[in-house]
Parts: sequence; C-alpha cells; structure tokens
Amino acid sequence: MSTTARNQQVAAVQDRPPSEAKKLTTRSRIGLAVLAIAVIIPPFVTTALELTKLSRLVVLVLAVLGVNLLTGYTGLISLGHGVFVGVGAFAMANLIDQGMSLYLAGILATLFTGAVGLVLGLPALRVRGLYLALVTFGTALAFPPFARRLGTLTGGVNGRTVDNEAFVAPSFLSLDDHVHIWRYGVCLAVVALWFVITRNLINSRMGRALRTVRDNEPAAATFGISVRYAKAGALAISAAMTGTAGVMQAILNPYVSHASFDSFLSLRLYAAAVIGGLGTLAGAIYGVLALILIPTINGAIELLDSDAIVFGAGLIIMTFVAPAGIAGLFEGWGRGKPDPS
Amino acid sequence: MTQPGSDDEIGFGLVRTLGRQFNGALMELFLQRCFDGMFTGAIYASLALAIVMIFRSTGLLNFAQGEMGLMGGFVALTLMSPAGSSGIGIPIAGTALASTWIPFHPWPSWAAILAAVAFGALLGSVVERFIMRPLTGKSTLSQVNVTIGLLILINGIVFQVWGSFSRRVESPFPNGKDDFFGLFGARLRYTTVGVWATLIVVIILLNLLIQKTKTGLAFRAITSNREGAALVGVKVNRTQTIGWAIAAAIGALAASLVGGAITLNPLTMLNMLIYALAAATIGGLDSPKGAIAGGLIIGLTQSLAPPYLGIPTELTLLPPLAAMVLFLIVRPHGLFGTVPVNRV
Amino acid sequence: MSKKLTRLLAVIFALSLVATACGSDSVTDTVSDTANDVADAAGDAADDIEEGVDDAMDDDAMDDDEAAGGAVEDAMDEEVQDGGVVTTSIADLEAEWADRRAEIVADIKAAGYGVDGDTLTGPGGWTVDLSSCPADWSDTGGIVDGTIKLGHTTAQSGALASYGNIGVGMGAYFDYVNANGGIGPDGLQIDLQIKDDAYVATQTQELVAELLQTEDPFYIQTLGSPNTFSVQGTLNENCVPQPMSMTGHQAWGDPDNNPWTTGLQLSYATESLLWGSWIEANFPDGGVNVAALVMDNDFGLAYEQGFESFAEESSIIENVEFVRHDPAAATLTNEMTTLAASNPNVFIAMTAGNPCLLAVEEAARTGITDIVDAAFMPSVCKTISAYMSPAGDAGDGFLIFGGGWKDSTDPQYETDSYISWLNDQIEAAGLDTAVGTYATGFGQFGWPAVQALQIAAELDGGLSRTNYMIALRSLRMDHPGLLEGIAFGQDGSNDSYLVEGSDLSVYNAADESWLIEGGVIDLDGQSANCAWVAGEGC
Repeated sequence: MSTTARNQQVAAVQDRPPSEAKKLTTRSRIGLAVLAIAVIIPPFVTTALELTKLSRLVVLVLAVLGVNLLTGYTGLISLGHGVFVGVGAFAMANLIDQGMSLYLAGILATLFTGAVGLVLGLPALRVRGLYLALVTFGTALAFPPFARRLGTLTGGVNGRTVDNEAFVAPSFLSLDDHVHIWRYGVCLAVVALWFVITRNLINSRMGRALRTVRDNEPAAATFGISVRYAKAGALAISAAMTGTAGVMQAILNPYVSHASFDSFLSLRLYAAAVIGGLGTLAGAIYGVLALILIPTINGAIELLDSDAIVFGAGLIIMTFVAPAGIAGLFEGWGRGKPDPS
Repeated sequence: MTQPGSDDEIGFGLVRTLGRQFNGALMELFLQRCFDGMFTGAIYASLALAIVMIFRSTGLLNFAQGEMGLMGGFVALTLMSPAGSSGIGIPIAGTALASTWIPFHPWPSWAAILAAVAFGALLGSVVERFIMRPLTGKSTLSQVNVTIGLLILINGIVFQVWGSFSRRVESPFPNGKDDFFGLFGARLRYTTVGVWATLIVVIILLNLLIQKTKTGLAFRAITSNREGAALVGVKVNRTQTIGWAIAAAIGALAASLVGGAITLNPLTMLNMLIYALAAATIGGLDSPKGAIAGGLIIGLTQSLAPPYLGIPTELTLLPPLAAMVLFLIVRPHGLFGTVPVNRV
Repeated sequence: MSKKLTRLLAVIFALSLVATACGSDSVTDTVSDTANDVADAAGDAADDIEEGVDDAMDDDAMDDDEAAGGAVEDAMDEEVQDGGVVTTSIADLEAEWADRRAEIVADIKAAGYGVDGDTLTGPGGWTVDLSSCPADWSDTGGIVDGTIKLGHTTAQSGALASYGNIGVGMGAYFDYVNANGGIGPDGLQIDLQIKDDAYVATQTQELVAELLQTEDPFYIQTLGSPNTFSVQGTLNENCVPQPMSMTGHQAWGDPDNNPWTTGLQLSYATESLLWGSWIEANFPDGGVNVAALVMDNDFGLAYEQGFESFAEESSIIENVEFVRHDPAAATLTNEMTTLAASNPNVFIAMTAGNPCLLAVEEAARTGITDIVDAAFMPSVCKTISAYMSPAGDAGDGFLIFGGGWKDSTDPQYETDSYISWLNDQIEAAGLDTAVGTYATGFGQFGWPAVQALQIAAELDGGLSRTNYMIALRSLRMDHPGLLEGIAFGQDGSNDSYLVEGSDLSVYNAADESWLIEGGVIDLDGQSANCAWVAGEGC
C-alpha cells in the first residue's frame, strides 16, 4: 500500500468531521449490534469459570482503552499504564477493608487513581514524546519494588487476598447461585459506561483539542488550546479509567500482589492498544482479542515455547500491514477505496 | 575460608587485602563504592553507547538495542564454548553445530567477541534494511512500536534457542576473585579498567568516523536535515544501514563485555535497559561521550545514593530513575547533547 | 501553569521518588514485631536445636569410619558413605514400605481417628469442623469410575518453566504405580491433570476455580509461594485437600487455621534455624557478625524473618546485617560491598534464581569469601548447573543445608538401589535423567503422595478426602529419597512439617559437586506452626 493511501487510511479512522462524529454510521450500528449479541449470549451458554474469564477480558478492554485515550487520542506514549491498574486494585482492596460498600469504594479508588495519574504525570508532561515513553517505562519498573515496601497495604512481597464477599447480586434478582452472571453484568455495565464517557469526550471540544495536541502541538497553542490543561485532563481521565479496571480486577480475582502489576503488564496493555488500533474505541476490544488469541494459537501450534516470538513478530507486522491497527483494517475494507476526507 | 584475621597477599602487591581494614575505614569504603560505581557504570555505558549511536544516526530511540546485543553475546558464547555439557550443566545451544561446521572451534574469547561484533553489524543491517527502512518518515509512534516489537521478538528468540540458564562468558579481561588493583585499601577490578579502556577506544574510533569520514558527515547531515541531505546527494539509505550496523555491533560488544563481567542470560540486557536508557538520556541521546559520562553518573548514583542517602537497597532503581527524570525536566538534551529546535 | 511552578513540581516529583524510598521505617517495625513473636516460639526450639547439633557433631568426631568427616578436607578426600546409600533391593524396600503402611493403618484405627458427625479428628489433637464445608461437598469427590483425579498447578511456561518438570516426573511415578496394581484393594488408577499457571498467582486462582468447577479433583497440589497463598483460602473453604505444596514457605504448617493444606520440603524458617544453630555450635565464644544478602521477595523475606527471630534470641550472634536486593538487579556488587564492610564472620545468601550465581561471584570478588569463616547458600540455590558451576572456583567451600534429599544426578548414588531404580524408571519413561527436577517429582513428591493414598485406601470407609488427610497428617515413614537420619513425618497439630532436617554439604568446585560434610541435622518436631498474616508474617 502506498504511503499516501496508508496515511489516509489512518486519518480516515481517526478523524471525522464533528457533525458526523456524533451520529452513528451504519457500520457502527452493525458493529454495536454484533457486539451486543456477543456479550449477551455468554451467560446462557458458558460455565461460571468461563464467564469469569470473560469478565476479566472485559475489564482488560477498559485498561487498554485507557492507554488508547492517552496514546491514541492525545499522542502521549505510555508504557506504564500497568501502574494505574495496580493503584486502582490496591486502593480498592484497602477501601473494602475499611468496611466501605463496593460501589463507594470503587468510585473512590477510581478518583484516587486519577489523582495519582495527575500527580505522577504532570512533571512528565514537560518531556517530549520519546522521553515520555522512557519515563513511563521507568515508572512501570519502579512500581513493584515500591509496592513491596508497603506491607499491609499491598501484602508486601507475598500479596494479599481481597474481600469480595460483598460482590453478589442484590437479593431481589435471586441470582444467588449465579453470582458469576451478576459479576459479569457489573463488569459490562462499568466498561460500557466508560466507553460512553470516552466517546462523548472524544467528540467534544476537548476531544478535538486532544487530537490537535497529538497532531501538532506547537500549532495547538496558537489555536488557543491550553496544551497543559488538555494533556492534564487526558492524563487524569485515562488514569482513572485504568484505575477502574484495577478495581474490577481486584474484586473479580480476589488476590493482588506486586507481581501482578509488573512492567510486562504495561507492555502488554500498550501492545494491545497498538495492535487493536490507537485512536479508535473499537481498537481496545480488538487489541484484547489479539492478546488472548495469540497465546491460544501459539499453544495450539505448539511450535514455540513462549508467546513472545509470535507477539513481537505480530507487533512488527501490524505496524506495516495495518498501522492503524485492526480497527484500521476494518475501516479500510468497509470503504473499499480510502476516502479522501 | 581463611582463618579470621589473616592477611592474604593479593593484587599488585601494593596494598594488602582489605580483611578487617574496612571496618571503621570510611574513606576506603567510600572509595570502594566509587570503584563499584565505575564497574556497574562501565556496563551501563556500553549499552548506552549503542543506544546513542542509533539515535545519532536515525533520531530513533531503539528499545530493542539491548536484545540485539544480547543475541550477539550469545553468538560469542556459542563460538567460544566447547560442544557438549559444560560440566554438569546443559550444553549451550549451537555449540555442537559450531564444532562441526566452524574451523578451530572453540575460539579464544577475543576472537569470538570480534565475530559477535561482526554478527551484530550484520543483524543491524538486516533489521534496518527490512524492518526500519520501510518505516522512514512514519510517526514516532510507529517506530517506537516496532522497536518494542523487536524487543519482544528477539528476546523470545534468544529464550527459545539458548534457554534460560545463566552462562559465564569468558572475558578478555581477567575476572577472577584476585584480579584487581588494590588501591588505598579498595579493589579496582581489571574488568572495570578493561571495559572503560575499550569504551574509550570505541569512542575515539567513532569520533574519527563521525568527524573525519564521509560517512560521518552523512550522519550529521541526515540528523540535522533529512530531506535536505537527500537532495544534495547524501546516500541516506546506505548511511542509515551503516548507522544501524555500527550501533548493533557496539551492542554485541556490550553484551559480550557484560557477560564477561557478570554473566549472560536472556534477561540480563533487559534488566540493564532502564539504566542504560537513563545513562544515555543524562549524557545526551546523540552524544557518544555523553553515554560514557551518563553511564558513570548512573553507576555512581546507584552505588552512593543508597548508603549515603539512606535509600533502602532493594529500591536501587529509584535513584537512577530520579536522576533521569530530573535531567529530562531541567535539561532534556542531557549533558553533552545538542539542543533541539522545535519547528512548527 | 507557570514555568517556575512546573519546575518546582518536577523537583518535588523527583524527590518524592527518592523520599518514598526512605519512608519505609514502618515496614521494618512490623517485621521486627512479628519477629519478636516468632522469637518466643523459636526460643524454646533453640535450646533443643543446639543439643541436636551437638549430638550430630559428637557422633561424627567419634566415628571416623562411618562419618563423612567433620573437616572440609576430609570431606573432599573420602568417599561419602554416610549419604545413606541404600543397598536393599527394590523388592525388599517395597515390602518394608508395605509393612510400615500397615502399621500406620493399625495405629489410626486403634486411635479411632475419623469422621464423627461433623467433626474430623486426627492425630496430635488435630480436628476439623466439617459443617462449614459446602453443601455439595463430597468426601469421595474426585474418585470416579475407579479413577482418582488429581490436580496440579505449576509453572510450565515463562522464566520458571523448569519447575513444570516436577509434575512430569511425578506423573511418571503415578504411571508406574497404575501399571503395578494401582491404589488400594480396588486398584484405583491415578489421573494426574497438570495445569500451567506460569507462576502467576491470579492464574492459579482461575485454574483452581476451573478445576473445582469442572473436575472436582480429589486434591489439588500447588507450586510456588504466592500461588499457594492465593488459593489456600478457597481450597480450605471448599474442604479440598491442598497437600504437599511445592514451596518451602513456612505458612503451610498451619493445621488449625488451614487444615487442608500441608507443605513437604524443608521450610525456609526451619532452614534459618539450622543456620543459626550451626553458627552457635561452631562459634562457642560468641561475638559473631552475620552478613545476609536478602532477595526482596517472598523467598528472601521468609528467610530473613526466620533468621532474624533466631538471632535476636541468640547470645552467640552479636549482629546481623541484612542487605536486600532488587530481584531484577543487574549486578549485586553494591550490595555485597556493603555486606563486606560489616566485618562479618559468616555470610548467608538468602536469595533465589540467577542472583544465587551473582551472589557467589560477587562474594568472591568483593573479598567476602576471604573474610568470613563460613558462607552459606540457601537450599533453593542448590542446582549446580544453574547456580554453582558457572561461577567456577568462586563457589568453592560454600556450605548448604541442601534439604536432605539425595541428588539423583550425583554419581555417588549410582549404587543406591532406590536412586538407580528411580533413574531407570525415569529413563524408561523417556525423560532425561540429567534433569534433576524429574527425579524431584518422581521421588520426593511422588512417593509420599502414593504412600498416603495407599494408607488412606486401607482405612475404614476406603479412600476419601478425610481419610487421606488423616493419613497425611499421620504419615511417618523412611523416605527412600531422604538421607538417612532425617525423619519424614508429621503428627497432626503437634508437628505439621514433614521434613525438618537436612544434610550439611560443602561445594567442591573442582568436582562441581556438593559433598556431605558431617552428619545430617534433624530438627524433627521442633518447627513451630505458622499462622500467617498477609503483609506481616507468622
């Protein structure tokens, strides 16, 4: 594919005229319908364990969306989003200890993670893209040793269990035997809520400001956009979003430890965001699908001991074949010829 | 073990072994820590140099630099190790093949390392030609993504081929327990001196290359104005390939030296990566001598900050990281880097 | 935001990174508190330990022929005979084991252990309230159609993938048993299902949940400290046994709070006691400084806690310098220099994995091995090919409490009837005898698993989970893979650790092998139970 065509493909995915953006295209409607069916079916056909696994994937999508918002829409490379998952998870575990209701604890933990993101990120915003990747990478590496030192908060070196007994359906739903369905539903609802928030954000003035900052930062300033506030806002929201993913993870799989939130988590989130398609909402979903399909395929082929080779090769190939990620591929196919908009 | 209190005669004969002299000898301890910082600093500097070379010739921060070097290091290991088990251990992959096909196998360590450097150059050229070149002009994001993909891929390949065991790489510099200069009660290892000497030689050669040759001129032209350079006839592609080849060669040298200084396993370069990145950043991402200075600073920070600033030793990552962040905010172009100009 | 303010924030940020590192005092306090609690329990044991060590030492001094020699030089010259090389034929061994099993069965029946209403009673005052088990719980869960379904989670991928070989070896032994009569009078066949958790604790949780849901295995055996921790609560709540966990953590000896969980191998806490008691026995004049390199993870801190509590009660150990290191550290030079500066008499490495090798090398290069009288490697660093041999001469003279097991790859056991038979079987199963982990699975873990199952199958009511736990908690036999003199047994709530003894071995760099020095030291029954609290300790 020629460079121009590729660029157009990328642009086509990431930018749409504002008036159009708010409407759902037919493609999107179909996509959403497929998605709706895909998520409604499982509780009826899968086992409790499989449904819990699916819930975890749904939560992972949320974490990847957080990376997407920051890296895809705002252009700030983050190789350290695993930290926010960890902060959200630990915060949730501890707030539950205080006897708080799950909902309140979840909201507080989310807000806390957003604040942490803001504090950690603000000075880092002063550095340019490439350097930001460095700093976030360093932060991801520093998080586990730091977490190990916090004893009772994080379970120290051994980790700790989370008290998720309260994560059950309200009695009027009589889902006592199917607590996993309730949990699945909650995960879906929370993630869907964040998707709606993100979509509205993207299509708002702030969203356009973010994209301008991404594409041409010096020019953005001349347009009257406060680059600082735009970046800070994106950072806080992205961190909060990913923090919610951590919150959900803590109560789904009730064990948290420093080892769960290492640099590999951050790299995986980033890789998923890229493969799925930066700067798209659907990209988060595609990315997670890729994340799970690759080890499954690798396990089936049984050629290689580690998934790393397939993953690394996949990431490289994607950058050539589909620079806009899987989402970009779909956009391209849907339109046939790239649309010079 | 010796009986308590005895003094062994070791080293250049200048000073006796430390033994109990450390206790209470604060200056000696401080000096020893400085030497330790120089030791680890040398290791970081060697990888930082490879990172700087890539940045200098392409403007790209290559996260996979360490892994490319790692592969070279294992190639050196395969060339210098005899076939069959090393003692009770598991044989090193490829040595059986090597002993059949490669004459005079196993090679002396210096020869194996030189061959690894050549391999590194080859690897760098191949990567540049088939993976990086098609991406020229693309966004920073794409290039970062590819280097991260390369990191994961090459690390996976090394794991797959050579397994997870730690291996001792025979060092060209004597690295036994008695191989050090005893200076004022502290130990300065031969390895430290040897690696620094090697790095300085490499720097001098690089400097000659960059300042005195046409290729070096081409480097400078490309990084300051790529399109302009192409317009005036600079062979951009060829120059980039050379840049990658050199950087990867240095990376392979770094891995071999690191393997000789400590040990080599698939995670070695990965564990070092953040320190080398910090060193390169502090020194200036496009300055070779900056890489050296940065390596020294990071090594010293790691050795001196925990004991003298009361930072817990298990948080050894934090002082170098803090130093890097400080520099990025206060002086992003590092100590010796060129100040960038932002054009709209 | 003004430039100045941002710069100020930046400086604060950078400093905060540094400052957070400094603010760790509370953790040290917590560790000290729990150390004090454990110290009381350990203190009683300490006196007995000294006696035990003294006895062992005395025996060796008197018996030159038998013993492998008390001095390092002797150990290197002589053929080690006290390694417990067994020459009884396998057939006779099998008969011995069968007799012993019958004895245990008789004892259990005589004592009347078993289920009475809702209470399960076992040896040593051990009781379990079965009323809290799930409504759909079955005592014979996992025994289906003449098959015993066993679950095993382990690391088969990732950096620790070699641990997965233990399960493979264990499976090989189960295949042998299946082909030779199976378990119990009905010849039940063992069906071992191994699941890969890549050493990730949340993955273990998922796998265990899956196993409980779909297979309802008879028991689930977990590998790895964090992994075992993460599912311990679930398994105990579900009244599913979690036997012989493949980790040396001391938290598995908690028969009152987690009755369905046990460990098997020498625990880190007991190993620390061994170090401490060895020091006390060898430095009667006192004034000993110890330098300890501690890995900042579950291994290292378990050792640190055990040793610190011992040291606090000890009049011989004057000072311990603990230096922790980052598990992902590229070098250990800085840490070892700090340790060297503390003027130690003894160096102990409390680490695991590749840093074992780095520790050996750096101990030599920083001069620690020249200063100290003794240097210890932890039992988890025993593997020669991975951790000792690449260091060359630097490892010469290091001591280790190896865990008490005969090394199946060690040529001195070629004449041992059990080990040679074990290696034959492993080879027949198509596995490489040079890889020690297969033997670990086949012998160390596989053998006792089968013994306990056999005993349980003979109890009233046949094989059931409750009978199995009684058998396990009563188990006391001569493990053929253990060195002679090390007991293999527990006793309900009185003794919840199967192995509490070890050999003392010294590394010979020229031969690249561990040679047993002196006799074995056994602290059977002296390790305190451990009620573990997350983030704090026992």
